[in-house]
Amino acid sequence: MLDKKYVTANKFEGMGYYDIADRMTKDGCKMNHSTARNIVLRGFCKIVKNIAESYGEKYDDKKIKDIAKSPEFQNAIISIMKGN
Amino acid sequence: MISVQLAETIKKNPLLTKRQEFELAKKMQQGDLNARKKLIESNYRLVLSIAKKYHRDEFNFEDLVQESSIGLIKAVDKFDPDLGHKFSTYACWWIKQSALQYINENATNIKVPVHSRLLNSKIINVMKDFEKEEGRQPTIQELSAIVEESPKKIKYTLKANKRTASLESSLDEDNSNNSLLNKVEDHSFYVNPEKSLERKELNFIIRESLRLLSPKEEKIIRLRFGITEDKNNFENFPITDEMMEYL
Repeated sequence: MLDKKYVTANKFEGMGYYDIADRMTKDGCKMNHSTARNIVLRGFCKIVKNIAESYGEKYDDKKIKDIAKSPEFQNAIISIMKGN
Repeated sequence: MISVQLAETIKKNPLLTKRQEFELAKKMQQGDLNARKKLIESNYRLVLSIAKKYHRDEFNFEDLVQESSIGLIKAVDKFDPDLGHKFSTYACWWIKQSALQYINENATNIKVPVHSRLLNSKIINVMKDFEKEEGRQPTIQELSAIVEESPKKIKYTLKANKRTASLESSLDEDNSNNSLLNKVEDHSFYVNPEKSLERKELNFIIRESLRLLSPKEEKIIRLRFGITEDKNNFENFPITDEMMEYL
């Protein structure tokens, strides 16, 4: 059985994707919850890709996405962004 | 070793019979200080016997005897001969209590409350029994079920009662240079410059990577993970061990 792991917004006192979509729509950037989720993932993919390239590694899109989705990676980046 | 004075006092005062104890206690109740003194001095043997049981190398025996004597004095003052018990039966609990209190206060550099120390001994005994029966260490949950205390309290008690050791203490009796301090790993930059440089480089790369996020991506990630605008640490963020291990 596939062992699925998720990063939850509650752990970081953040917002759910529906709330983010509402907020962004109110701020003038119309989007739905899936778009919000895709944008988060895209941001993490950018970070993974740049780190990999800096170390001379060339990962395919699947691998980049897998790393970007992993809770360990996201937790580490978030804790850095929070300055912990 | 006990002091000469104490040894002489013991020699001079033989054990009392139950009848003598009763009479002295009665006199003491009427305010006779000599009777009180006699009752105390005649029971120093009991103090010595209990102190010997509790004595460990880390305590001064003479101090332990002195502290235990305080228990004896309390017992003498509170003894009620009309209840018909032998004095030693009553006094031994007071002496033990004083001895244990002294041990508790002097066993470690950090003072731990008596109830915590008692719970710790209970947990240790349970752990030993469990290991004998099951052939493995019990988990915190198993300990919690047996001792009937919360897992949090068990963890806290075990942590609070850990023994401390001086970094200067010698590991080898023959070689005083072989101290515990020499065995502690040094994590400073000078010992492992390669790792420190790697960490610096990674720090720089991540900082650059975070700059690649578009304003929209950055805003949504901030909202998603509860990072407020005033907590912008992109410029000067630390690299955590977790991050280092992952990458």
